[in-house]
Amino acid sequence: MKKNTKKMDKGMNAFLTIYMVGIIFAIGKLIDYLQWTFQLIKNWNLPNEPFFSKVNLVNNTTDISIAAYLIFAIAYIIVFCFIILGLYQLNETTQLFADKKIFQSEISLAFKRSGKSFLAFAFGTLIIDIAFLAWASISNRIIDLLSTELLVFIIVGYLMFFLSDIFKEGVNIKEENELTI
Amino acid sequence: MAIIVNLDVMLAKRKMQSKELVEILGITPANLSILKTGKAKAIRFTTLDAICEALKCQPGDILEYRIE
Repeated sequence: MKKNTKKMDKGMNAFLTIYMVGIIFAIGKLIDYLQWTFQLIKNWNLPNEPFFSKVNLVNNTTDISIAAYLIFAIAYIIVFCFIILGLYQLNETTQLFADKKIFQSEISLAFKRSGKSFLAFAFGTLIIDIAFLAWASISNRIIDLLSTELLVFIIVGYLMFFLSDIFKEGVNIKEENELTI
Repeated sequence: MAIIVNLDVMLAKRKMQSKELVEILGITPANLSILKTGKAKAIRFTTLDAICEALKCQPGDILEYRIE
C-alpha cells in the first residue's frame, strides 16, 4: 500500500511539473504577443519582430493595414487565452488529485472542459491563420499552416476527452462498488 | 431491479434485530440498510454466506426474483 502511494505521488509530481512547464510557456508566449500588440498600438507601425501568424509574409506584395494587423493580433491573443483556461481546468484536477479525490465527476468535467479549451485554441488559431492568409492574398497552401504546435494541441485536446470518459467510467464503477455489500 | 431482498422477513422469523445482524456480519448499519431497501447493486458471496449462517437459512430465503 505504501509503495502504491509513493508511485502515485511520483506520478502526481510529474503531472504537476508538466503543468508548471505548460503555464510558464503559455504565460511567456502571451506576454510576447501582448508586447508586440502594445508596440503596434503605441507606434502605429509594425514592430521589428515578425507577426506571430504562421503565414509566410516574406514575398508578400499586398499592403496590409495596421488596423488589420491589430484585429488579427487581438484575435490571436483571445484564442491564446484558451490555453490558459485549459491549464486552469487542469489545475482543478491536480487539486482534487492532491486531496485524493480521484473518482469524482468534477475531475471528468474538468478534463472535458480543458479538452474543449485546447481544441478551441488549436482550431481558433488555424481559422485566424486562414483568414489572415485570405486577407493578405498570399498563395500559401493551407496545409503549410498545420504546425507541430497545432497538431500537438489537437491531440492533447482529444486526449483530455478520452481521460474524461475514463474517469466518468471510473466514477460509475466506484458507485457500483460502494453499493456492493 | 427484479431481485428482492427479504432480509426484514427473515429477521422477523428469527426474532433478530438489525443491530444484532450488523454486529455478526461486521458491516455498517448504513450498508445493511442499503441491502434491506433494495438499493444494493450487488452482494458478495462472502456476505451472503455470513447472512445465511447468521439467520440459519438458504440464499433463496433472502433473495427473491419477482417479474416486474
